[in-house]
Amino acid sequence: MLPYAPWLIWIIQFIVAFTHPITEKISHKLRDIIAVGSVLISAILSASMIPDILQGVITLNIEKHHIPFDWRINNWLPLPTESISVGVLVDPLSVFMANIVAWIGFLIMVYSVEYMHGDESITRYWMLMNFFIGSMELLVLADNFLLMFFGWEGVGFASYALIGYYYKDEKKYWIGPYPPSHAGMKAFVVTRIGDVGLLISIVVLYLYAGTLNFMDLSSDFTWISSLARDGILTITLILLFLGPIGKSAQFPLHIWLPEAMAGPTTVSALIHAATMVKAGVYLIARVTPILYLAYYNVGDTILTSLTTFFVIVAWIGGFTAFLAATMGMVADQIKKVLAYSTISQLGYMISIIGAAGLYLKEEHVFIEGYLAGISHLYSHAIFKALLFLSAGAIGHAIGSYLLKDAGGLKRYLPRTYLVMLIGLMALSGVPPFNGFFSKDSILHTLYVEGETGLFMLLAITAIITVFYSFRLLGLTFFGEYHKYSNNPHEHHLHDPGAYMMIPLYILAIGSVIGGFLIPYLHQYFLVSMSEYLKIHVYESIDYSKFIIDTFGSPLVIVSIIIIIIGLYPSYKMYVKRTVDYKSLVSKSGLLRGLWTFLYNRWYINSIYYKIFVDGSIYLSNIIFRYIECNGSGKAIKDLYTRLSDSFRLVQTGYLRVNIIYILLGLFLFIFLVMLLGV
Amino acid sequence: MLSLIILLLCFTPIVYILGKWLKAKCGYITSIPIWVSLIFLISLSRDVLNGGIYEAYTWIKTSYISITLGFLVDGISYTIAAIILFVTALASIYSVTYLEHEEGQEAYYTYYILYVTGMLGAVTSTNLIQFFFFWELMLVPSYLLIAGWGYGDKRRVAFKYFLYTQLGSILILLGILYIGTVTGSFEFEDLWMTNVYLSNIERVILLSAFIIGFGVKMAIVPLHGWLPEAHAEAPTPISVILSGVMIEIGLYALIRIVMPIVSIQWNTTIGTTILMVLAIISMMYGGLMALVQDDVKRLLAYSSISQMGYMFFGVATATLIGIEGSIFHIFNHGLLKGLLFMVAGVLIHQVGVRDMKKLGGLAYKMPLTASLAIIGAMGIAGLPGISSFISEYLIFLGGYESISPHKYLLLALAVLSTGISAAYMTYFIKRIFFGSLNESLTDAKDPPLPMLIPMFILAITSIIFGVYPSLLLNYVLPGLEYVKGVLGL
Repeated sequence: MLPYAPWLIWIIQFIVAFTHPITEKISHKLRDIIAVGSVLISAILSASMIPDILQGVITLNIEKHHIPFDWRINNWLPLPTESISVGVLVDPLSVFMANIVAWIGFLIMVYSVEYMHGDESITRYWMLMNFFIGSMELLVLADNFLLMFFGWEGVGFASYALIGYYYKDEKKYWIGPYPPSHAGMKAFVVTRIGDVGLLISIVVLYLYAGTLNFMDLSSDFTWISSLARDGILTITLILLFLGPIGKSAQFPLHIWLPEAMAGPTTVSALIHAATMVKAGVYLIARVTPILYLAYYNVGDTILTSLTTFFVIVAWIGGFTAFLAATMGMVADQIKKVLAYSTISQLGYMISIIGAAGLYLKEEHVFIEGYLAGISHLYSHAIFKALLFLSAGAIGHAIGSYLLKDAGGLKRYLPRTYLVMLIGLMALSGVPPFNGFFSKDSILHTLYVEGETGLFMLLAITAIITVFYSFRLLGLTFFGEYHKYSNNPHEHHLHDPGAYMMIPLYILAIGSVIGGFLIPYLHQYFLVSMSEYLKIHVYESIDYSKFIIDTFGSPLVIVSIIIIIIGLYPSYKMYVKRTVDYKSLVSKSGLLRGLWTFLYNRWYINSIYYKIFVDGSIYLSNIIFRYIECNGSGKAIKDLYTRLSDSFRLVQTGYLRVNIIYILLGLFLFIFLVMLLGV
Repeated sequence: MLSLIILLLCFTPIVYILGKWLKAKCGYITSIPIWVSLIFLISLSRDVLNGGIYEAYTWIKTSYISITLGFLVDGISYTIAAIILFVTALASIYSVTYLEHEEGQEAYYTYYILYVTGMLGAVTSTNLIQFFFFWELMLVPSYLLIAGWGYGDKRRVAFKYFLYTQLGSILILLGILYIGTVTGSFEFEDLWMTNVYLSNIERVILLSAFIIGFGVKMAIVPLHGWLPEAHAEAPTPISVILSGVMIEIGLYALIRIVMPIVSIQWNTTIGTTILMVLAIISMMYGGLMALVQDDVKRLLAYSSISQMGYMFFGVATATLIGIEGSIFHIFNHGLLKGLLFMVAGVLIHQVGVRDMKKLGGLAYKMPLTASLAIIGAMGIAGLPGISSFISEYLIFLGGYESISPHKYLLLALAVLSTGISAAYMTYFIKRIFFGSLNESLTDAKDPPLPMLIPMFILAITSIIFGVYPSLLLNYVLPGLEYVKGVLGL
């Protein structure tokens, strides 16, 4: 580990974020170099911690510390009884996340140099991007809930500001009926509702445990038995889960993510696909092992509460995966399809980690499910960043993200086509791309353990995923390019330059070979987790066994069937275009109804707007009009107005009148003194 | 502390004379004694850590009655006095640009210093009579400042403010006199004797009288009628002080005066529940009203009612953590609401528009103001990294620790209202700074330095304390020993 790595990773980013306005004055080139270079430094710092994790020991000032290592600053927040300390936690999960954030962040920053070139307020862009990466690293490295909440809200703020990046609301940046400034606000407020739950549960946890530190919470478990005794364990955990529901855009708070696409595409790639939305998954992944240990220490008394919680987590994840995938089938914008797909894939991760929690008694199943979720997080970060960045290349070329403006681009953007094809195959789970490995291990775990309901739901979702992936491919790259034949962007109609292509190639290579690295990822986690969780499932890598298990299991057949069922209609309608999908929909009443239902996002969004937005403004207006201005409020106010009006009459401002008042007062005083006989 | 009061009072004639000549620039002179006082106060930090300092002088001594003139700086009054001096010093610099085109600046600055003296005296007093004296001293100049340099129907608004507060003050005065008559002492440290001399019913009546009396100043719903108008129509530097620090002195009085008298009734399941419910009504009501305002300053005024609800909530819980949070929140609200009112003043001064329906897209024209406004708005919305998050968090911890049987529900409602705060604050930012630029606003630009620097300092301070709260909380903690004694914890 490089010295102070877990601290410097995020501190550097915060410092750099605030130096941009100054360096901008010196040289634009310098500013760009610092912005991108600082992320590279953070990435190297993150990578430098991997060897320590693999050894299971960290050496600091000659002292050896076991992983997980908690590096604290004491007395950060003094309280009457004791004080809260803060620090960073170095363990497999945090270092893994830190690396994902920093390395993908670095690639996207390189890409941004060309993508954002010529933008008038690029300084603001760099500031917010660096601030975001700093907050995200803080989120994943924090050693307690409170400090994590700092990062949590920091990324929320950066997301808010970057979604509304084009705050002048020019029509071309609108997503459906919403301008970017509205979209940013929506994201902030909706995720905030989830954060209310998270904050309440943090308060409750603190008062029961007397600490918020992850390591302390997993060493003494009296807090969990007292929570269970008071009958609020399940509700506390569900409130905690509200945070991930908001941040990772799970049902019922998933409505903000599609509009979040109003920001620059690099932002969608980094924040709304590869990293920030993973914060929710990260939190679940952080809490699950603690609950696992709690079960082993406290015993069966808390099992029912924990199982209830994990059932909810697994099914919300599963349902969201399905819900969002169906919406993705009819979306009319490239980035929106990808946004629905992100929601759906996050559903997979949350669902499998939740399902893992149902097997607290069988440690190998628990670990298998848990690692399947983590692996999918890893695969998804790579291929979804790839997909968004390819979408950015398309937008860069044709100046629009609407699917109706695209089509036939394969001839003009061959390299973009290639990388996007790789990304979509990874998303669909085509072997041997990385999405196949992780999705297969999710379905495999569910199938083997007999979670038939979840297995069916996620398998159907996989079919839909294949369908919309190739629909997206067909509508953008096949057919005739027509709409923009005489557009001002004509001269752009080619593949982007090196700054954009190199990150795309790197991510494409990652999507191809990433799946084969998954056993190493498992080993990386198991080395120190087996000690932390006191389990003994760790064995050294048997690579041939892994390959045979993956490709030789009967589930591969299922995977291939899934791909074929999803691919066939999509290929016919959108790639080959032998079936006219438009007439198909307009002819059949059922399909038309289904299309409208899906296109309106199951009407969930509009219902929310009706109830919560219009409702609260309506209610406030009523109170304002009838109570504050007319009702009881007015009665009190009128009383005072009348009082003040009548009282003002005696304040004439004439000296002679005032002298009379003074004399009267004096007489009254003397009279009182005489009366009381003092 | 007496020397500080005298120093401030000595500056009133100086400011008046120099003001005739320097006009608006006299704001710099006005800030001198305030900065000096602040530095002196900070120099007492070590004493505060050791429990605070107390100084006393004989004020009135007859055979019937003896009243001392005492000053106490402990953790609680130290924090509040610090924010009072800090905000008023910055607001007086801010006034320089703001008052350029006004008349009678010398009188303005003279009242200004008197106003600061009143507030500083009120939070350091050690007996009821002296407290009441300074309490009234801060009312009269603020009334004159609103009536003289405000907007709109300023005379009537100011008079309404005066009457509202004055009727509250009558209740306070009656309560004070009653306590003095029964116990024979006006000293704060003798307030515990009320536990011996007063019956339960008398104490409940006193509690109601004081809650109403101080509640008017704190603008607890439904006693808030004066606040939206007064804060909206006051000259902006005065709005900064009214919202940022003055209304919080009502809360300070609750901790210092009311709590010792009725600690037994307060710290019961019924007492805490009733007070917490009152606080939640303020939070929610203020927040919802802020959602539908079109006037910038009126929105901020309603937001103050809502924020006052948070502070009241923390005190209402009758727990150490809750009260620690409330005191810290007083400090943070002074910083952040001060900052936001200054933003509103910039809009009035630079653009001349305060109706949000006519604003929009200003972020491009005034990037610095927009960034500062976003920091302020995010602070009110409770974003971690800005100091108010810590204080809200402590207040919620207090809510959970209270002995009220309905604390889960109350806490959930309190936390939920941060969602309302986030909504009206993001809406506020969006309507002013985002969207397409209004045709008539193309000439807008960032304000001159005397306006910008105070805002910048406030924003930076709120971030420093947000990242490292123990810088201040270490000094608040010793003050809580007092609360511990009062509540018998």
